[in-house]
Amino acid sequence: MDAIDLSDLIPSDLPDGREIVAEGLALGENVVIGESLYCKEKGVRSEREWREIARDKGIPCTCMNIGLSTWGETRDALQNIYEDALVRGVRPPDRFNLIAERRMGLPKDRRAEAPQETGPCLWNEKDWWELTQTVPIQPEAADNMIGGPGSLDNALDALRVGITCIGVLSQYTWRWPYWDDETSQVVSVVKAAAVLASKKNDGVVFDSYLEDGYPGVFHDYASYVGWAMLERYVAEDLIGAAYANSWGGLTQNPIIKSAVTLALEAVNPNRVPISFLQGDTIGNTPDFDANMAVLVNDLMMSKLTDMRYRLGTAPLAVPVTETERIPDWREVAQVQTISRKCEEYLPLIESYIDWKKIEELRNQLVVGGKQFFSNALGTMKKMGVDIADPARVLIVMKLLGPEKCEELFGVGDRDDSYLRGHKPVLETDLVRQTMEKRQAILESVAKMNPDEQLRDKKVVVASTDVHEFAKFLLTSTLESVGSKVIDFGINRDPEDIVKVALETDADAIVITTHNGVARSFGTTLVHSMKEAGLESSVFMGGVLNEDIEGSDVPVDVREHLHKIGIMTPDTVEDLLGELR
Amino acid sequence: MKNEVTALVDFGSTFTKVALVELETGSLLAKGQAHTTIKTDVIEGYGRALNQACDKISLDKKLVTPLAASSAGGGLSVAAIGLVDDYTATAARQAALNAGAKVDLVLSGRLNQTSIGVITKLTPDILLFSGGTDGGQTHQVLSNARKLAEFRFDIPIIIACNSEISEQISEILTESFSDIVITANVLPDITKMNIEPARLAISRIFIEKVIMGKGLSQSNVFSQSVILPTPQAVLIAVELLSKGTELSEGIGSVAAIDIGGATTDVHSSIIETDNLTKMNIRGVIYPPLKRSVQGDLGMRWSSKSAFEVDQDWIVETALRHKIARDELVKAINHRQINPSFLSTKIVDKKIDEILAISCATLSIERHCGKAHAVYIPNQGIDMFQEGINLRELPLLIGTGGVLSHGEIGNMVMEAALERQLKEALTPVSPQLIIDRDYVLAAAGILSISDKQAAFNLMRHNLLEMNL
Repeated sequence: MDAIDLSDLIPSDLPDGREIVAEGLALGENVVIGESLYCKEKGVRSEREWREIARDKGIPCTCMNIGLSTWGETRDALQNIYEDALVRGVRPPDRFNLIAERRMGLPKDRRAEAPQETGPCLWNEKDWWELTQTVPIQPEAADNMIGGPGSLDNALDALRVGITCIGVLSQYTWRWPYWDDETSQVVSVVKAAAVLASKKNDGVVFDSYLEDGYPGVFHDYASYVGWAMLERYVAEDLIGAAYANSWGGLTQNPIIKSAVTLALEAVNPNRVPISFLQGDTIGNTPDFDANMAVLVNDLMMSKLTDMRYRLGTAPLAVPVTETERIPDWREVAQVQTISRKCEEYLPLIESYIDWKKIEELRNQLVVGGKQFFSNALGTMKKMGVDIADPARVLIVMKLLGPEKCEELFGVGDRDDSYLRGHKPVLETDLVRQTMEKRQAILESVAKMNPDEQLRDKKVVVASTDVHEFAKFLLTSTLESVGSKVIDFGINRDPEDIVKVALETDADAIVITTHNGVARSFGTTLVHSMKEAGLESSVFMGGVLNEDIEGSDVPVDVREHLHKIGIMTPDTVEDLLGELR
Repeated sequence: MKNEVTALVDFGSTFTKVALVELETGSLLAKGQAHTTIKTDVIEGYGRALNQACDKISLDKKLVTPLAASSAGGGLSVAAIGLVDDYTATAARQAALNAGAKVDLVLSGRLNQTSIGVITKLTPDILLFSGGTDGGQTHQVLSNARKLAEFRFDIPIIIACNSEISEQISEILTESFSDIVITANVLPDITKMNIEPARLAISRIFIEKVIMGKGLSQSNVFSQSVILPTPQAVLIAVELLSKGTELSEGIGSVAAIDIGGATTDVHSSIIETDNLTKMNIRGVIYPPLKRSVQGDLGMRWSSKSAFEVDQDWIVETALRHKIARDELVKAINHRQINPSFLSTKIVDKKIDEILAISCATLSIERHCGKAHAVYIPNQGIDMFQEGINLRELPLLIGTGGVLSHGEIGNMVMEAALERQLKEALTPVSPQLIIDRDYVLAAAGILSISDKQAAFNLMRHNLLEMNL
C-alpha cells in the first residue's frame, strides 16, 4: 500500500519551477563572462571547449582539491603548486575545485553573521578575481557554491570572473546552518541553474559531484547511474543547462570505478565531459606510504579509462595525508607530480586490459540506471507530482531521502535479506566494505573464544540516526557470540528504547550515533531509565560529539557520557569485553 | 442431507434479532426482531422474535436450532494490565477488544493501591494480565502480581505475560481470583503481538462463566446457544469475508464500521500484499485482524461526548443547515437522556446524520495508524508508520444502527472519508457497501459451526446485492 503521496512532500509555498527558470534565464542575459588565465593560455572561451579539444586529441587533464583556512592561504598555495610543477618540469594541474567554507552556501548578506567554520570564504570582488587570475589553473566553483540558499549569488559571481564549470547540484540535498526554508533554497538552486543555462552556448557547465548527494549512501551503483540521469533530466531537459557529473571518492575497486564511469558516460547523450574523477578516499589508512599504492592504482585505471574511451575528464589525485589532515601545498604538489608521471605508462598497459568485462558491467549498470530513472519519474507522475517542474522534482527527491529513494526506485530482484529490499545490480564499495568488516570482526571475535557470559545476554541495539551500517555490524557480531539481540532499528528516540528495554529486561543497551546528538541522547536515555527503574548497562559508539554553546565545532562528549554511567568502547571487540 | 434451518440470534442490549438461514445454501430466509426482555428472561424476547421470523415463512419453530451471540446485560467487560503502555498493555487491550469485550480500563507501569482500586470499582468480568516479552522482564511483572495478590477479586483472571513466570504468577494470584487461566504471552516478541490465544481464552471464559453469571435467563436454550460476544461475531465475519473458505476465495482486505448508540466500532482484516512503500514501523506491529471501540462516540448514550470531541465541525456543519447552536445542543442532550429516541422530524434526521459523520470520521481515524515524517539533516525525510495502514483498502462496509437502517449510510461514510487527514493511514477510496440485512453478526455466529454457509450468507446478502 502506498504509504504517503509524494505530492504531500511539496511545500505549499513553492512557486512554479518554470517561472523560476524563466527569471533565471532573463537574469543570465545581462551577465558577461570573464576570461580566466587558463582559458586565455589555451585560447578557448570556456573550460568545456578545451576539454573537448583535449578529448579529441587525447591530451590527459588533471584536477586537484584545494581549500586552506583562508582565501589568502589558498591563493598562495596555488601559486606554489604551479611554480613547483614548472620547476620539476611537469605539466601543471589543469584545474582545481575550490573547497570553500560552508558559509559560502548562504546568501551574500547572511554570510558575515553565520558562525565561521573551516575553509576559505570569498568576501569581495578581488577574492573572486584572484580565483581565475592568480595562475593558469582553471577553477571550478565547487563546494557550497550551488546547492544552498546562496546559489544564485555564487553563480553570478563565478561567471563574471571566468569560471565556466560551477557546482555542486547534488549539494542541494544539504542543509545549511540556521536555514530551514526548503522553498527559498530550492528556488535559489533552480534560478542559479537557469543562469548557467543562459550561457550554455558559451560553454558553461553545471557540475554535480554525485557522492555529495544521496548516491554517497546508496547501496547499488545502478542507483548512482539512475540518480545521475534524474539530475541530468532536471538540469538539461527541464532547465536547459549543460550538466556534467563527477564522482568516485567512495569507490576503492578501480575496475568497478571504470565500469561506473563508463555507465555514467553512456547516459550522457550530449557528451558534456565528466568534470573530474575523484580519487579513492576509502582505501586510505593512517599509513601514508601505503596510501601511495591506493593513489597509483586509482589514478592509473581512471586515466586508462579516460584515454581509451576519450571521456575528456580529469582524474583527481588525493594527497596521501588527506585522511589525517587538510593537506598543505607540498602534499598536493607531490600527488600531482605522481599523477603526471603515471600518464607515461598508459600506452604500455592499455591494450592488455580486458575491457570487454568492464563493458559488460557497464551495460548492466546502464540497464539498471535507466530502470531506476523511469521508476522514479513514473512513481512521481503516478502520485501527482508535476514532473515537468524542476523545483518539484528536486524537492520530492530530496525529502524522500536516500533510503526511501533506493527502496522505492531501486532495481535488482526483490530480496529482503538486503538492507534496501533489493539485491543490488552491483553492490557499492561501502556496502562491500561493511560486509568485509563484518567478516573480519566475526573472525576476530571467534578467536576471542567468547565465553558463556555473553551467551543469552539480552542486548537492545538501536541507532539515533539513519546510519544502518554500524548497527548492522553490531547486531551481527552480538548474534555471533550467542547474545539475544533485540534490533530496535534506526532513528530511535531514547524514551522508546527504554520502553523496549523494560519489556525485554535487556542486560545492555547499545546505541550507535553519527548525527552529533550523543550528549543529549545519552542524558535523556539515562534519565528515562531511572524513571522506569531500569538498570541495564548502556554503551554508545560512533561519533560521540555534539554542538555545545560557545564552541565553533562539535565537542567530544565522552567524558560527560562516562560521568552519567555510559560506556564508550572504541571497537566492537572492546564492547564484547565490557559487556561480559 | 443438510437442509436444516439455523436461527442466528443476537441478544443485543435493546433488541433481540433473529435471522433464519438455510445451512446448505446460506440463504437468509426470514428475519425477526423483538425487545430484549432483560428484566424477566431474555428467552421471552427471543421467542417473540423467532415467532415473527418463522411466521413469515410458515416454518415450525421446533425444527430450528439456535446459535447466538450476546451483548445483553452490559456485554463483556475486560480490564487489561500490562507493563509498558505502548507494548504489553496495548497487546492485552487489543486481545480483549478482538474478543469482543469492552475495555474500560488499561493499566500499565507499577500497580499501586489507587490503580487497583479502580479495578474493584469498575467490576470487570475478566482481568487480563500481561507484562514482559518471553524471556524478558520478570521483576516488575512479579511485583505487579504481588500487589494484585493483596486484594480479592471474585472474577476470573487470564495470565498472558512473560511465559517464564506465568506459573509463578498463577501461584501468587491463586487466592485472589475465582479462576485462573494461563495462556500464551500476548507479546512474546517486542515487535509482534500474539493475541489469538488470549482472545480464545477470553471467549471460553465468556461462554463458561460470564454469560451465565449475568442472570439473563434460566433457560437451557440460552446457555446452550450463546457461543460469542456479539462484537466478536462481527470481527470473525469480517475475517472470514476477507480470507474466504476452502471452497470460496476471500475478497481481500476489508473493514466494517458500526455506529451504535453507545460506541462506534471498526473492524478490519488486512491481507498483506507485496508492499513497495512499506514504512518503518514504530511501536508494536498489529496483527492483521483488528477491532477498535470508541466509547466516546455514539448516537445516543455517547452523543454528548461525541459532540464535545468534534464540536467545531459539528456546530459549523449544523449552521450550514440552518440549525442554530442552542437547538443543536438541546437535541444532543435529549438523545443522551433518551437513548431510545427515534428521529422522525427532518431536523432531527439531519442532526443524526451530522453526528454519524463525526463518529465515523473519528473512529476511522483512531482505528488506523499515522505516518510520521522525521526530518534528518542532509538525509531527507524518513517515514514511520504507527498503527495499521488502510490507505488502499478496497472495501468498507457500513453495518448496524444508523448505517444499516437509514438511507444515508453511503453518504455518511463518504463524508467521513473526505474529512480524513493527509497523514492518516485511513482508506482513500474504498468501495462502500451497506449491510442492510445486518448479516455480518449473523454470519460471524454461523461461521463457528459452518464457515461455508456463513461465507455464502455474506456473499448473497452483502456482496451480490451491492456490487
